[in-house]
Amino acid sequence: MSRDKDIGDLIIRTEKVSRVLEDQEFPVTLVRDISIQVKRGEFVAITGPSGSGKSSLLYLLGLLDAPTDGRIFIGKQDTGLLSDKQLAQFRLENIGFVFQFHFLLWEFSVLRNVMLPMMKLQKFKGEEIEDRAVMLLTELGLEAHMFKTPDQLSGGQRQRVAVARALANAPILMLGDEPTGNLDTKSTANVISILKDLVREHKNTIVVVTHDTDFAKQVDRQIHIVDGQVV
Amino acid sequence: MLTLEIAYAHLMGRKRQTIMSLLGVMLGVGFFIGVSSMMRGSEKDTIDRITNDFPHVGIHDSFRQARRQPLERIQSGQPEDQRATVFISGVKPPVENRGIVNFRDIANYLRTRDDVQFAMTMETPVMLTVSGQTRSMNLVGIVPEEVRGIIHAADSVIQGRLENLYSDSNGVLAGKAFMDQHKLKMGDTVQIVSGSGVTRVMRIVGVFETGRAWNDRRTLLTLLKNTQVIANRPGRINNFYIKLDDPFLAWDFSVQLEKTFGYAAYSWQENMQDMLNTIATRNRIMYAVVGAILLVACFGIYNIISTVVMEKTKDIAILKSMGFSKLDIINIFLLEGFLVGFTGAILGCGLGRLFLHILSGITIRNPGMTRPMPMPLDYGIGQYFFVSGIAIFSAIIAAYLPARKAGALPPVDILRGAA
Repeated sequence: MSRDKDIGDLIIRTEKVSRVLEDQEFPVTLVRDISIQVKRGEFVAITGPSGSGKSSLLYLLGLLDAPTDGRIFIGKQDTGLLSDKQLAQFRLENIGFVFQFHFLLWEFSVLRNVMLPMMKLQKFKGEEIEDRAVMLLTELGLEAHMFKTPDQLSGGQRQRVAVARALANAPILMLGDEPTGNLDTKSTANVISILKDLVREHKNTIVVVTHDTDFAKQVDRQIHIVDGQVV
Repeated sequence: MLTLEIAYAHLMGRKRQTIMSLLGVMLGVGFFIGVSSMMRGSEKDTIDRITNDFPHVGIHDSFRQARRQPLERIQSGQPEDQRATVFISGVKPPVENRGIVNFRDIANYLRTRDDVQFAMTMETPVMLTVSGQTRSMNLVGIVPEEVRGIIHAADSVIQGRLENLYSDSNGVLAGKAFMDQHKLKMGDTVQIVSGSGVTRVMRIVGVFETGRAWNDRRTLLTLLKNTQVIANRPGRINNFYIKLDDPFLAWDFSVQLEKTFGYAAYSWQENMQDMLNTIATRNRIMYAVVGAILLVACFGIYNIISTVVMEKTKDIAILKSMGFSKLDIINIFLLEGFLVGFTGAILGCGLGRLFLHILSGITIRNPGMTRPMPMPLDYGIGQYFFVSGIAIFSAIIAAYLPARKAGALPPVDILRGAA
């Protein structure tokens, strides 16, 4: 599902990235001087205790937040050089998100939810969009639920829809923020195996934040964060 | 299309509030159309009456400013005024103004205009004696075949005929109110005395009723040559009554006539300035009232879109994480405002049309009218477009504030809060 594009072998490279919340009474440092690299086709877990800054790092990598210091490269792009609008476009094209609380659009059918990012980007056209959405949902075992609304699905199913949606525009990088945090054991195993398949068979690059140690053990590499720093 | 789909889904997700906002816009637009139609209808009705009853332009044998005396002209130092010295002999006080000197030039000019109809009259004040009472009247000398459609009294003959003037050389037509006041009937005689001292006994050969008190009490119509004799101004006329195909050209035309011929020319707009000012003020009041209605409707729109924004912060965050830009988000909510405004305007136009249908069935007896009349309504399509435009514009403005707020929401805060 990944596509060939001249992005080099390093999907993520950060140089001394820090994020400080300055608009508080006392400045709060969320992450400090983080320099990491993630190669194409790697499955990386960011782990650490609550409040360690792992989610903050993920939002930075996902370009939802901007670092106060340092530089973040996604592919070969220095993301600090992009305007807000360009950042949105860059996210749309290159990054897929899965959150702890699925975050599906409640008013739309499962199929529509998966089609949304494609309809926005228009890299795929017309019929292609629906065909691709059906293909993704089928691969994730949701072909029976395509025309249901999210409230008719179980937590595990919803999370698989979120995965399908994250993959819609064939991003170079998929990010998960506690993607199994809200699921029972069986669904968790199911989602983990799906993510592993994506990396093994489709050469996707995945970075997840988790505090589930079982999950963390199953990935290629762990980046452990304490107090906003890599240890 | 995607934006529209999301906007539509948001509104449908809050059906009850959406319907209330739609009703707000719909009522605002509907009321506006109803009120505007009545206002414009009565405005048109009033102006129709004015332009039917009064000449559009009148030229009188007077000047707006007294002409300059020879002495003033010499002292002005203008070269063309240097020969203005006159020799005055046999001084006597002028008895009466002389009428319009170059009336043939004016008449010839007016005949060249296809869109102009006119009548020339000689009018003179007279004292009238009837059954021992004396009162002043305005004696209007006309040529009967010239005045149809131009002089209201001549068009409003209810007894006898205008042509009766030809069969009785001393015939006059009088207003019904005057006849009633003095218990006169057709064929009765009255005695008149003019300013120049001529006394004549006139016979009433017709009655008119214009519905205007001043006309019906004070005007006497007779042949032009009669007034010329009675006023001692043979071969003169002192008034032009002019009607234009388009009454709204009257102002400009009167200015042009006055400039060309010198005599004072009054348009109906100038004569009726107070009335026109009243109409303009009334219109402003209407726009203020209806504007207030629409303003209230806008609060409804603001309210629903604010609510949607608050409820959909999660959706906004997910759309942003997906790659929707700030502008995309703002557009979604602006579009929601537009949808409410547009749909409300369409429904409101239907409601307004329904109001007009109901109003057209109502008859009202206004003070001063002798019988109930249907309400004058304006069915012009322009007001529908006008108010719809205003409604849609205001709806978008009302949506803008919450939309901007939505666009500015930082996704990270929402994600953090939810996680």
